[in-house]
Order: sequence, then C-alpha cells, then structure tokens
Amino acid sequence: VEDRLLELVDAYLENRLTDPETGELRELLRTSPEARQTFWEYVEQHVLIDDLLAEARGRDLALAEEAAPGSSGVRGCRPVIGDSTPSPQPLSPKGRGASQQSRHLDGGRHFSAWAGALTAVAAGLLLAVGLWWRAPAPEPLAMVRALGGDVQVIDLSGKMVPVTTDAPLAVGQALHVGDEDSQAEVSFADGTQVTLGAGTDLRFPASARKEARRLHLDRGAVQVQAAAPALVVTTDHARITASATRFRLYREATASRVELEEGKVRLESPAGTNAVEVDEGSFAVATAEARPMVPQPLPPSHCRLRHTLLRAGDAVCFSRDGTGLIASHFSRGWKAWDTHDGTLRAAAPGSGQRASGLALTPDGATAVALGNAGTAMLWKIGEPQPVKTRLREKQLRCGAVSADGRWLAQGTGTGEVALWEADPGHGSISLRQSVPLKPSRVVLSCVGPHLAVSRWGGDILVFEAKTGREVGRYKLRRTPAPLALSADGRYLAAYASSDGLVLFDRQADARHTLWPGEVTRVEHVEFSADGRTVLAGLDDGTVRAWATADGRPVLVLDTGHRLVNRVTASADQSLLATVGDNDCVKVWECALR
Amino acid sequence: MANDRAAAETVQGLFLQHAAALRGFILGLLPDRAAANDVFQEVFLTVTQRAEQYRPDSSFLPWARGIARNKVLEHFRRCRRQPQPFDDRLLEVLADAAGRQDDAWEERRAALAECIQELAPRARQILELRYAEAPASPPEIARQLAWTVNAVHVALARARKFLQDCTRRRLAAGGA
Repeated sequence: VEDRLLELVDAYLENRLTDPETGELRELLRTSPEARQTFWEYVEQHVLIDDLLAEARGRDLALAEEAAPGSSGVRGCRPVIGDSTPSPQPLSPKGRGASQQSRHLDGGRHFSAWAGALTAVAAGLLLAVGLWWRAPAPEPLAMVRALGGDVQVIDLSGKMVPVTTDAPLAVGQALHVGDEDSQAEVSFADGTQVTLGAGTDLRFPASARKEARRLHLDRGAVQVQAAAPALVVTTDHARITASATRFRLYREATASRVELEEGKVRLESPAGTNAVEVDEGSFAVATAEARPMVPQPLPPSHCRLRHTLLRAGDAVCFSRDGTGLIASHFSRGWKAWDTHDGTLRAAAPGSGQRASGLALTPDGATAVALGNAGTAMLWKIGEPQPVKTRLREKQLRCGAVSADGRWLAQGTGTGEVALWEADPGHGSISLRQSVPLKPSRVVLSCVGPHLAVSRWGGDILVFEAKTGREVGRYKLRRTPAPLALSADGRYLAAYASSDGLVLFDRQADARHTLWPGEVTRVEHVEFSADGRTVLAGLDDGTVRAWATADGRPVLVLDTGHRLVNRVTASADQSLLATVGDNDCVKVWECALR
Repeated sequence: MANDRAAAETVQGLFLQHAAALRGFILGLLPDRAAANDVFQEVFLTVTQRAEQYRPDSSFLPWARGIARNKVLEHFRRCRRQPQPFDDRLLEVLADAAGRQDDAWEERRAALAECIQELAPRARQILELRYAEAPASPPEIARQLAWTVNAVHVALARARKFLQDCTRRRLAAGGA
C-alpha cells in the first residue's frame, strides 16, 4: 500500500495525477492516518531534497540571507550569511587550552612560567616521539561558517583544497574565493566575522603580537565585523587596527580603501610613518606612493527597507508614480506588486526566458520585456496573458529595452544589431533598423533613440538608432559589461575590470572613473529617469550612486543581498528596488535627491 | 514602534529558521510550485504584519502553519478555475496531520544529506536536473538523456524511494 501511495504522491507533486488517481489518493488520505503521515514525510523529503541540492550548488545562503530585513549582522540590513546555521561554536577545548597556554608563555617573565614551559616542551617532545607518526593538527584560528561557489583553503604546504562549511582555519593558511559568484564567511571564536567577496585572497599570517589577530588581504574585498579584541588587517598599502567596528576593505593594485560603517579604525602606512583615525560614516584611501591619507565622509545612505519579495523576479521596474513595481521572473512569470503594502496586484505567465530588458510604458498600462532567447512580451497589466512576439532568436548575445518601453534592441553573433519599435496599443512590434555589428552588449536611450553598442576588445559605439549613423565612439581597455545610457542619451556608463566604472558625459566630452576595476565587480548599472544619478549594483551586495554632473558619490547602500544583479530607482528617486541572488527583490525608501 | 520592529524581527528570524518546513507544508496542500511560492511570500508578509499577535512562549510553527493554511484556502477561493486536488474537508484533515515530525526535522535533513551522497550517479544527475534552479520537466530531462518520459518518472520515483528508505534506516540506527 505504501508503494502505491508513494507513486500517487510522486504524481501529485509532479502535477500529473489522472482523475482516477486523484480519487484514489483522496481516499487513502481520508481514511488512513498512516497514509497522511507518509504523505507529509514524502512531501517534506521533496522540499529537503530541493534545499540540499541547492546547498550543494553553493546556494545555501539564499533564503536566510535574503529574506529578513533589519536583522543585525555583518551587513546592516541582512542576517549574517549562514544565520540559519548554529551560532559560532567555541573552539574545541583542546584548541582553546593550547591558545591559553601560548598566551601565558608570551606574557610570562616569572621563572616558574619558564620552568613550566620547559617541562611542557619536554613532555610534548616525549609525546611527539611516542606518537611520531601522527602529524600535529594546526591550531584552529577561525571557522568557515558559510560559503558559496568556488572557495578553497591554501594549506601550510601551499596545496589548494576545496573547503566545506564549518572547516577550521589555522594560522599560516589562506582562503581563496573564486571570481564568479563566490563568497565565504569566516567566524572567529570571539564573534569577529569576515565576509570575503568574489575574487578575494585572504591570509591568516602568524601575528607579531599574539593577542592581536592578523589578516592579510592579497586581493579583492572583505567586510569585517570586528569584536572587541584588536584585529589587524593588512594589505601591501595599509595596516588597519580595528576593535568593535564594522567596515569594508577594498584592495586595489595601487591603493587600499577602507569604509567605516560603525566605530572607528586606525589606518597606517605599512612603515607606520603615516596614520589617521577613520570614523563611522567615513572612508580613507592608502596608496602605494604613501600619499597623505585623508578621511572623507561617505555619502549618506538614508534608506529604509520597505519590502522583501522572495523569489519575485530577475528584472524589475517601477511604475511612473512609484506606487507599483513590475517584476519579471523566468519561470514564475510577471508580477505587479503594490509598493506601499507589498501585496500582489496582478500576475501573468512568463516566457520561460530571463529578461534582457524590462520597462513600463509612460502611461503605466503595459509592461514590455525582451527575453534572452528572443521573445518579446507586452503585458497589459491585469490581463491574464501577455502578447508574445518572437524576434531574432538565433545566436543571440544581448538585448535591451528603452526605459519608456518603446524601443527594443537585440545583438546577434551573426553580426547584426536589430532595432524594434513596440506599439503597446496594438500589441505589435516592428523592425525599424538593422545595424551590421557584432556586439557584446547593447543599450538604448528613450530620446532619439540612441543605441550604444559595446564590442569585444573595449570599443563602445553610439548610433542614431533610426538612421544607423554613428555619432560617438568611446574606448575601454577591455570588453565592457555592464553598460547603460541615460534616457536623453547624454550620459554613458560602462564597467570593465581594466578600467572600472566609467561615466562619459557625451555633451561635455568628459570622463569620470567612478569605481575602480580591480576589486568588487559591478553587476549592473542604470541611470535615474532624469539622468542626474547613475546607480550601480556590485557583487559585494552594495548599491552605489553618483551624481552625473560631477561624479560625486551620493549613496552607498548595503542591501544585504549576496550580490546586486539589478537596481532601479522610481522616477522621483524616493524608492529603489534591488534584485539579489535567487531573484529576491527588495524595495527601499531612499532620499537620493 | 520599537516594539513592533523587535516583534517583526523576531518572527522573521523564526520564519527563516522554519522556512523549509513551511514551504513543505504549503507545497503539500498546493503542489503547483509557482503558486506555492506566491503563497509562501504572502505568508511571510502576513507573519510580519501580525508579529505582535505571536506569543514568544508558544511554538512558532503551528502558528505560522495556521496562517499558511488560511492562505492556501484563500488561494483556492481566488483561483476557482484551477482544479483543487483536495476538497476543503480533506485539506483540513491533512493540515492537522502535518507537523508530527517537527522535532526530528534537523535529524531528517542530516540523514537525507548523507543519503543523497549514496545515490547512484545517474539517479543523482536526474534529481539535480529536476531540482535545478530552473527545474527541468520530466520531458525535458527525457530529451536531454535520450530516455522516454516514463523512464524519467520511474527513475525519479525510485530515487525518492531510495532516499526515503535510506533516511528511515539512518534515523532508526541513530535513534537506537
């Protein structure tokens, strides 16, 4: 009977029960308490398999990390990664005893301490001889509490070994976090927590002073919540002494930048000739040329989390008045949310494609999306089905939708950038122009429209889309990704690891580097509707914004996402929406203007 | 205001702690994955809004399940055209039967994690395709592996049955 029940529950969970089978399952569940228990056991197993396989893919951070607003942790607005796992365990009694012993030896001048130490050493030698075949385990310094993607520990012999959650880390070891969507969090016994972003190498060198833990950042970025005992973090350019603070540290090729969220740190040059105190809400940069270090205020982040929408979408946009938010999800379809109370206003099935671009028409009635497999969709909000139109589908490389939903562009590997015009009133889309180019990315302005196309190697070309006439050419050292064009076409923003995030003012022929390229990658860049602000989502979970007029930073927001895949602002810039890992969307009240 | 916030943070923390159990509960009553995810989101919002009503000295999961059950019923009332697998009476009976194994949730998870390691490579591959971030349907898996759709269904059922038997065995051994 149980085997038959399981067959039926399997079919039930797969949504393929026939009518007779449905009747059979109902009867079993209605009449047998044992069947009901087996049913739940099997359903729960189904969910646990889902969770465990997600964890094996390195996605174990997703829900716990994303869902809760306002929780305390390494980042201001999210629970600590791995919050769902037990809180940091103390080191084993053996490890703790050894560490207490070594502190005693360091501080002791008393003869009996030395005598005791010598006795202990002699006893240790005897024990070592007795157990010579057993290699001594390195003293644990910290534990890996959570990880995602490619994370490896480099052991004392220089060998790289994939690391697992709860793995101990010892003095002399190093942690390597891979470049793509990887992250790790390390906990010390005193509660200090260090989050390592993608592309980070962190060493745990032996400390000169045993009472101060020491870390050395060779590459990448870390976020640190330091407990009360002193923690020293060094780079080739700086030495940071922290106690009871929360800060971010970015290590570039020629400089190191520290940003203080809470408390203060002491920032010194490696030789100790130059030192400053960096306070909460400030940042300072230490350079290889030992220039004076001047703390400067960070832009305020007056943002408050309003809603967390779990698994809501991979692309989002606001209605013009900011009261609605449209989300498009490759498998869950379209959702229209009320930004005030977070309730669902309307929903419709999607295309099964991730959105290369998403926008709402100026009247707010129709959402326009372009899927990454070539299907365009127009959804009159509230209608049960969107209108689907198949555009170019072969060798698609990139796509974009203008912010007013009128223009769509597709770039193909066959050497074409196709420009389409949408007519939401009739639900139709027509080809308007075809530009012969092999693009890596493409974006559109509303006015003109202008079309910006990046090519492999770093060229960015701007065209008048309707005529195909080239009107601008810009250059980065490597292929840019991502790319954005302001609605009026005046500003162009592009990110490449070689150049960082660069803002081009096409009218003034000016260029500003907004963010360096070697540390934390920019995942998404977008302009506000009025073009006065450029917003970037980074792979350390922050959103940063700058004024386009002068490149001045206007916002640093720690979203609590593992990385920020998309960010968009409402037209009046009072709301922000961020899309994080696992398609979680957060809506923020901000004061960007 | 501060109390509201503290209460909301408390229930949100508990929600995260019990997210898998709640998702399982909703999926058991509403097997359409996308709809279940929507209800899950609604439960999260409602739990947050009603945080003040939650008594910290009581058990969180039965309280949240009560909210989830009402949300599932609301969903079926809203989507009358969508076939409802169980009538309201059976839904009530089933909902009452849930949660008998709440205490053993962590142990079951740990045992299942070990059992997944014991799966044959092909069975593991099929499960990974079916439970991927963008899950492949059985016909899609069949196309990828050049199998029949029925063979995929059988392989999935066998893998799940193996995992169930293995988990029970491990729990029994652990309990002994």
